Amino acid sequence: MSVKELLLTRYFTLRNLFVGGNVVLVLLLAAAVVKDQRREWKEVQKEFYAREFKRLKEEKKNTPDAAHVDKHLALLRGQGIKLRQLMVPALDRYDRCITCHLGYDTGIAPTQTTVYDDPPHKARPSAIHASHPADKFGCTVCHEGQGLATTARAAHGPVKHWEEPMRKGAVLEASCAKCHSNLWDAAAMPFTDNWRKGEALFQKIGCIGCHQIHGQGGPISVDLAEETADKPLSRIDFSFTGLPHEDRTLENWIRLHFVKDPWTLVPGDPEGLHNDEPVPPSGMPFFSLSAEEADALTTYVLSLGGDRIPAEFLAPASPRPAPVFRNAIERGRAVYVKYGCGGCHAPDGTGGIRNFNYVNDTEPNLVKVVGTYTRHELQEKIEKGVSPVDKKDPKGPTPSLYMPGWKEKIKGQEMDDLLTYLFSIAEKDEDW
Amino acid sequence: MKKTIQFLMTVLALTGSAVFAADTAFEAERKKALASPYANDFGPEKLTDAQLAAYPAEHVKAYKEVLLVKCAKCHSAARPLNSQFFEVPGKKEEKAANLVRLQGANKDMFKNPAVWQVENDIWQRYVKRMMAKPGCEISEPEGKAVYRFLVYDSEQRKSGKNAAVWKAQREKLLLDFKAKNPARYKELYEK
Repeated sequence: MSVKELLLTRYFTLRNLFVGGNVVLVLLLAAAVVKDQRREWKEVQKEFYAREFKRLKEEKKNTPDAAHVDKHLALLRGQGIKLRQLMVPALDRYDRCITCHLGYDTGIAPTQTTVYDDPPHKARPSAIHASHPADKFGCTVCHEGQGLATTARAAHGPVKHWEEPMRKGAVLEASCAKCHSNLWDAAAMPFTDNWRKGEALFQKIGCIGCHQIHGQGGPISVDLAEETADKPLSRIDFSFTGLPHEDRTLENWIRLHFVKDPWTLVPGDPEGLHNDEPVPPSGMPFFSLSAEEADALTTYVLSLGGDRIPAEFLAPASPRPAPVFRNAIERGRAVYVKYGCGGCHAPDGTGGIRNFNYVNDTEPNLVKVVGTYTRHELQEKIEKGVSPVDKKDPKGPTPSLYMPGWKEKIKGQEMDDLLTYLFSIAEKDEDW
Repeated sequence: MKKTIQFLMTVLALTGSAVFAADTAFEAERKKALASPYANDFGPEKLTDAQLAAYPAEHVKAYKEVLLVKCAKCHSAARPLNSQFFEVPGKKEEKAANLVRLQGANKDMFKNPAVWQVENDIWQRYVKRMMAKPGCEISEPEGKAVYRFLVYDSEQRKSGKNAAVWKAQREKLLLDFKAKNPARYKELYEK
């Protein structure tokens, strides 16, 4: 009898295969049950309940109000190990965060408070949580993250194919703008200082001179509200960021623009090695902001995007008080800021920022050049703009920056005031 | 030794790129000047020896060393020499009084700005503006010198006993320019 015949007739008989198959099936089922019992969130809940039972039993010994503790113990015993989910269809939110963060489940901890300091068991009362009940808003509408996930990593992100990881730290304030249009109001919104710093910085460095917000602003670069704040990660080239894959988020992409030289972040193809035409690097200046400033500006930029929120969730808007100016120079200064002139010419007009392959290397210093124009000539220059600008290397890329014509945007009183302001900062004529 | 060679190479490369940048800047400015002509460009490119003989030495020096050499890198010397610009002479505090005097002496000078464009600081503004152009190598002392020359030269050739000669010369330039470049003439002088 050959080995093959021996195997088929003695060992791998149909009967043996049937029995063996059933054994494997039973083992797999057992493994599945064991694995399911050991899910991350179940372990978290078991630990939480164990801690709570222990704590409450101790408390019962030392309190005259034992009935109250018994009531709490009974409440906990009735909970069981289960997935917990907040459902807010109006916001399209189905959040399982409270599966692990049991302290924020009002069914277990009505005051959303625990005595623990370690996550995920930690829960502390806060005015913001009090005014934003989880059963009305869910969690991820503010905190972002993946509400349906059942592991900490997938829920907090970033994980592959999930583009909205949790917002942490001060950047969380960006979410407030989804419903609140009065983040500027420190009295009404005391928790959004970071956003206010970001807005002030945005105006000071003149981002709006090149970028737009919902179509309003300079035409040189992207619309931050329509394109950047909700940009899909698939459209971002992270190659030059130096970020590991798990940190390749929109938030980090935006933040890097403020702390890393944009010429290295978006280097283009100045020699035309990979494109038909040479492509200049990013036109954005290197702001070299501090980590705190970068956080503030990132918060502000992120706040420009976000989900469409149903009207019933929107907080009542309050009109921003009109600024008071003492004279035309101050009004003109406000126009200079409003249209982001400082983005190219520096906040105080002593410009100018670099412009790759521009024949003059940097944008004009207004303090130096304004006085060489008459009022009429300067108005004409602002209205017409300067485009295209001359190349230093004729074979190199067209410089990214140019002076757009502002005729359709700055006119009438605004133009008058701007001219007054510009002549006020111009180098005073000495007697040549 | 190796470091010295590296340093020298870097200096050479930087100097080369600076020279290249300046040259391309001049070229770009010259191209722009040619593409956007003025009536001035078609007048005489130099002053005559007889005219220069009467000028103070410092103005002749500025004319020869700055105007004909440095300014002419970007545009022909004819552009400033035949310009309608006329700066009221005198120190800053004297200009208001001198303007009134000028208005009394020759009303003609204030009739057509394409022939005489009289302003208190027009040459100063323009020299400073030109000095801010890419690659301009005119230093501040040179700028001041050529500015003083332009004010003096304008006063000599465009006012006083020479006003009528200037008027005739400038009007002819304008007429010729209108015939050659009607569209540009309209853009510049009929606004």
